[in-house]
Amino acid sequence: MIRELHEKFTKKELSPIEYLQEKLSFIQSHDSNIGAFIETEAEEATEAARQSEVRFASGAAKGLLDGIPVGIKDNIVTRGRKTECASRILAGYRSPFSAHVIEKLHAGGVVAMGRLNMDEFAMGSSTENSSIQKTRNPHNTDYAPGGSSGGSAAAVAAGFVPAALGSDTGGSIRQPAAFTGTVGLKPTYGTVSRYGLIAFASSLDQIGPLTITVDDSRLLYEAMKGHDHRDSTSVPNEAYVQVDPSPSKLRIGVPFSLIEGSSPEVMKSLHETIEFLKKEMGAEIIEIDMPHQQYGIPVYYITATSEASANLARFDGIRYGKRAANPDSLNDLYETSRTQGFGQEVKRRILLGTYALSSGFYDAFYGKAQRVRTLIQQDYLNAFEKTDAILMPTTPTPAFKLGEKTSNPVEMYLSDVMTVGASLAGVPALSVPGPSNGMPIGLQLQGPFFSEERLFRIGEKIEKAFPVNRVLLA
Amino acid sequence: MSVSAAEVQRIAHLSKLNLDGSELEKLTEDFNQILGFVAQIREVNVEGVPAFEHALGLENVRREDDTAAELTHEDIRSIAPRFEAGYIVVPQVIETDE
Repeated sequence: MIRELHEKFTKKELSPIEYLQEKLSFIQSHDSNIGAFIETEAEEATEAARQSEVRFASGAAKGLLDGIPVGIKDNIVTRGRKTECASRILAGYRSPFSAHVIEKLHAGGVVAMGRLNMDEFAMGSSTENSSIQKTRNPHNTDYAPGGSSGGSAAAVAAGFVPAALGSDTGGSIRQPAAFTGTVGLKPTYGTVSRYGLIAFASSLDQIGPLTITVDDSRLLYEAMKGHDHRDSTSVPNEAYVQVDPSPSKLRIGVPFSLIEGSSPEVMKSLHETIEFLKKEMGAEIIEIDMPHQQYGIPVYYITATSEASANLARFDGIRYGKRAANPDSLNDLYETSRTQGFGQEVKRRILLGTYALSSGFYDAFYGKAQRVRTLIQQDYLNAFEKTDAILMPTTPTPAFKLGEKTSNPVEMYLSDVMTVGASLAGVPALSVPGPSNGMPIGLQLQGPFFSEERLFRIGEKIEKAFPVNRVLLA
Repeated sequence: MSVSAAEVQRIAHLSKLNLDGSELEKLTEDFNQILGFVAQIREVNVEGVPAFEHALGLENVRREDDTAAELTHEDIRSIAPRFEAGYIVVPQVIETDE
């Protein structure tokens, strides 16, 4: 889609300004029913599109992404613009610096726009934990768009923007992509800088694209990856490993025992895709055993909440963000600012993380979880000894209804059961829409470190074989 | 395993959160449910297994300690809840005899 837009911009069949205005008026007409954008930042976007138009007019376009509108999740900062992480504690916050990915996209001429809705601090799987607004699934507005990057997924699925950035800690890009029939990539850990992404769980957080096509995912990933000295976990450019993008005899691993609880329509979609890969791509399907994946959700929640309890300590009402009025003491200022500023789910996770790290419980919870995490990663490394990629559903069911899981936190956590493994292991994972007769179904391809291009190539075959029914908002 | 409301209150204070009444009750209930769920990792045998560090085994990153132009005074003023005469203002920290 991006390549076609670029061609139109180049041939002057369409200008970046015209395209942006078309999108802005479409958002104006329809987003009141969807709730993807917290704000569009139309003024800043228009200025960026105007500059892009000048470059196209003078034959000095910066590349394929020049003039392309890309929506931004509300946890990635841009200098001078509002970023609130969908939280009351950051109400009105305007960042004094820009994220590494924003600098990179701006350098490529991208029209970065808007603040897309999300679960507060990216904690959630339905975007219902946003303190600002509800987001609805464009395929059926009774359904959740997934989360935490629900605004990004809904905006792309609805046709408001051709692409958006999200962040994925345990599935927050892939699960909403699956629920909305879009393509979502969680890159290899450390390949996209986290500088300027408001931290949730630093050993897991990765920024990635949500797009209509696999090729668009590739273009954005290529534009965003690369070393950044401001993120100490960023992979140095010389440490990247070349991975064969098209193995001659493709071996696909499927962890059947892990996915047996999936719904019938999800299993049907998976089996149709497996048949396609065998027949059309000559792929060999290998059943793989990943014995520690059953502990993925507990290990994930202990790890992510522990890191969150430390990362969110910075929201203390002193240097930025919301400060409680008339505190009695410094301690009262901290407690009241945080108690008023954070929503229920954020408090739940801070409590669990503080407990898991506290004296007397550290070894049994955080310490133990880190050892089990090593075993979970080992499952992946073993699987990639005999396979080129792993295929499994992205989620055990298609989208659930809004309100369906909000009363039971553990049930909500379980919707991440197939996505947390790749996050814990640090390997790349791509969700692409699979065959479906009803609500969209996402299939997930996971590969060895740095194998994004291999995943894109397999994903493109699936995409071509099983076109998605696009949403047409009327 | 089960954790009392008083224990959750203690954890809340360590987290600089102030919970009371129905919020404390609800979060205690959720906390126990989640804790019961995550405690299943106890059954895994991890003898001899090292703790996970960086996904790709990246070692400590070092660089020269040189200066660079980063945030300005004005940048900090623009985001601080209270800022006077070049400083962020906080409630009194040191008690006096008066």
